[in-house]
Formats: sequence, structure tokens, C-alpha cells
Amino acid sequence: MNFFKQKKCDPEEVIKYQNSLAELDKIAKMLIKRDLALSDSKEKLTVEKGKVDAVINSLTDGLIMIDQGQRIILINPKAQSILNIEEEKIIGKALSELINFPQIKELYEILTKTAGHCREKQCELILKESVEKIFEMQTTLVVTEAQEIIGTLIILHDVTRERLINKIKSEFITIAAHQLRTPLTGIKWSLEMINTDEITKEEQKEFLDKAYQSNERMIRLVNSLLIVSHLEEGCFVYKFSKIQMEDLIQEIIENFKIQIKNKNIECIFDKPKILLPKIKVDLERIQMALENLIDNAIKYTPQKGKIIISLKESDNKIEVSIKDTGMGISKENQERLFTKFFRSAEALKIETSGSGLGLFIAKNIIEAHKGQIWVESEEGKGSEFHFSLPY
Amino acid sequence: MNNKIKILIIEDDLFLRRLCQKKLEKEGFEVVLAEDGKEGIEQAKKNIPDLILLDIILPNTDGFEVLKILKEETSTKLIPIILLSNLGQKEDIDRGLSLGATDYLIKAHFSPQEIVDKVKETLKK
Repeated sequence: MNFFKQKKCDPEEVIKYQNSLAELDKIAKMLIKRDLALSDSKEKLTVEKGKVDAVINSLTDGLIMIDQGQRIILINPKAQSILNIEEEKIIGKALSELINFPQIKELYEILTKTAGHCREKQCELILKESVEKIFEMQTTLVVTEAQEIIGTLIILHDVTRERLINKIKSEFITIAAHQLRTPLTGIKWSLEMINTDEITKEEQKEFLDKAYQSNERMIRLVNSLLIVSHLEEGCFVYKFSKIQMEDLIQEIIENFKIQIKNKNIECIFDKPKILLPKIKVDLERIQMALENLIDNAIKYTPQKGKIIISLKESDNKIEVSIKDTGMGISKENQERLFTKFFRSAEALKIETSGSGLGLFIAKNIIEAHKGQIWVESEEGKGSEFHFSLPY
Repeated sequence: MNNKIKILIIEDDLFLRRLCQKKLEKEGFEVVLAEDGKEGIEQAKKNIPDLILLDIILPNTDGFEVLKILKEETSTKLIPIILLSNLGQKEDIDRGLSLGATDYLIKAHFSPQEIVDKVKETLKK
């Protein structure tokens, strides 16, 4: 109140003072309001950030951002799992410091190699783990509104499955082209040769015989392809019955009698003295698997060779072994032997017309019965195929 | 001594090899046979043919490899080589031609007579 006294209470001054008080009050209110708004937008920002984080974290592609010094400033969980690394160990560190992590080393090498021409482009990152994984790697520069480059965004998209499908497709086309067209060519050429004027009776017979055999080969191939397509649909083993393995093998050997005799092969069936327990299998399928194995043994065993088929029982399993004295299979080819359409160079040398499906089919049949199939072989000496079935 | 034109057929399929041989012999050519890539290369070097019909899917050394080797070798690089294969994807054809094959024929699309015509046409060049 001293103030008023000193100023002697000039009414004009009072009004002026009251006005400025009101002004101050207004400013204070504005400030409070702004403060409220600020904390509100801060909250909003946190919410927004949470949303962005959630989006980044739930991306099914790997996402990494590095700054201009190649330091990792962001890595989402998918990228962590792709690179087999935890965020805490690498965030803020330069890629070059992290090359003792094998997967980051790959990434770093690609980035270094492609720097300059692969920015803003797609590259391929191949990571070799227990299985090879292939990623499409897209790198994009991160640019602010002020046109300042603040880093690079790396997106890793898993294309392993697509690539595998493409490879299988291309392999199929190659095999299909070769295996389907070869017998068809045989038929076509034979028929054309027969249809020309100057051929002898013997030639005519030879060409007709070739056309017939090519056609037989075509029929067998189509059958195998149909079986494979059934296998791949997964509906394969269904008609179970109890069988005596000894009888089935005996019957199959009987069916191959002519081929065995033609090649003067000695075929021994070594069965246990005591009858084995009966086993529950899909008879037709197991017969097919056995036929494929025995057929191969005969095909790849030279004249006057020997085939031993043996049978034993242990650990509630029946094991069948088929041993031949053929050319054997190299270690390298043994690994691929049971895969679809595979034919070993050794086999190609002897028999060019195989479909590469027989062992693939046998393996699938045995495995559908919860059994196992494997091979032991020494090059130049022969091969022994085994399979076991639980009963 | 004969002065017949010599054709080397490198083909692993017994039937097709035989049919091709028959047809070419009927047309008056001398035919030499090889049933895999390795044998094909040996035959080509030992017995320089006037033209080679070469399959692609072959045991031991495949047709592309054979083609490459023969085109690099001084004694064989001038021999016209026609690829005669049942592979027909564009990349196979492009690869064959870029390795120096004179022509690329898909077996199933050509009859023996058409193959002979191609052989004659190539030899005229």
C-alpha cells in the first residue's frame, strides 16, 4: 500500500495499474495453458513414438538404420534374429567394430563393396547358417526435410523360400525337358525313319522296337511322376495290412527272375531261420519301395555280379538290406542320392534313361512308415541299401 | 581311304545315337560316335571331324563344357558344332550360342531329315 501512498492514489494510475494486472493475469493464464498444451503434446509424442516403435518392431522384414559413420542407431527384432545378435551389444557401434559377428561381417562387406553404386538399390545378402538363407537387401538414404542425409536404412527381406521354389522349378523344367522329351524324340525319330522309302526289313524291325521301348519308358516315367505328385500332396500311405516280409521279398525276386537270369546275376536271399513277426504296412507302397531298390541293384550290377538280400530283426524293427556288386556311389553323391530327380554320374554312365525318382519315392514310402533308409557304398566295389521298419 | 564327310555324334542316349547314326549314314556321311563328353573331346581331337552334333546333358563332362574346351583348342576350334539337345530354355540356348555353337536344335522339335538338312546347310557355309 506504500506504493499508493507514495503516488497519492492518482485514479488514472490505479486504472493503469489494474489494467497491467489484468494483462499479467492474461499472460499467466496463457503460460499455464501453453504449459498444459506442452505436456499434452509431450504425452502425444510418447504415444506416437510408441506406435512407430510398435510398427518397426512388428515388421516381418529386418530393419536397420546406420548413421553417416556407419554406427547402428536402430535395429528391429527381426533384424536382430536374422543377424543372430542382440540390440544391446551393437547399438551405437560402427559396423566395422562388429565384424567378429559373422553375419554382420557379411552385411558390412556387402555395404562396403557396393558403396557408391548400390545405394538406393537392391543387393543380395547370403547368410550361411545350418541352412543357407538368402535376403534381398534394400538400402535407402535417409534424408531430412532440410535435405540433410542422416543415415542409411537397410531392409532385409527373406527370399530363401522363393529362391528355393524357383530352383526346384528350373530343375524340374530341365529334367522334364530331358526325361520327357528323350523318349518322345525316340518315338518321333523311329517313326520317321520307318516312314522313309529305303529301309530294309531288319531296319524296320529295329526302328519299331525302338519306338515301342521309348513308349514303354514314357509310360514308366509318367507313372513315377504321378506317384511323386501323390507323395507331395501328403496323402500316400493309407491301406495298412499285416504282411510277412519274407513272402513279399520272395515274390518280388520271383518277378525279377528274367532280368536276373539275363545278366547271369547270382541273387541270394538270406532270411532268418525263424519266421519274423508280421509287420503292418501299406503293402502296395512297400512293395514299390522294395522293387525300386532291387531293380536298381539289378540295373547297376554288371553281368555275372552278385546281389544279396538279407533280412534281420532287432529293437522291434525289421531291417532289409540289398547289397550289389555294382560300380558304387561316391561319398559326395551319396548325400544327394535320395533327392528328387538326382542321378549320379556313375549311374548316368550305365543307364541314361532313369528318371531320378526311384530312390526318392522309396525314401518317402519308408519314412511315411516311420522307418529309415540309408546307403553304404564304396566306389568300384558296390552298394548296400538298408531300410528299417518298426512293427 | 575314303573322302566321305565325317560327322561326330556326341550323344549319351543309345537309341537316339543309333537313329541319328543310321540317318546320317544313309545320307552318305561317315559317322563317329561318342557316348559321353570326355570321349567326345578325345574323338574330336584324335579324329578331326567336319562337323559335330553335340548333346548337352552328358555324363562326365556336359555339352557346354565340351563346347568350351573344343572352341579353346586350336586344332578343333574351327569345327562347326551344332547343339542337339532336349533342353530348350532360353538361357540354355543363349549359353550354347555364346560359347560358339553354330546352331541349337531341340531334338524333339526336329526330325532326322531336318537335322540332316541343317547339317548340309552348315557344311555349305
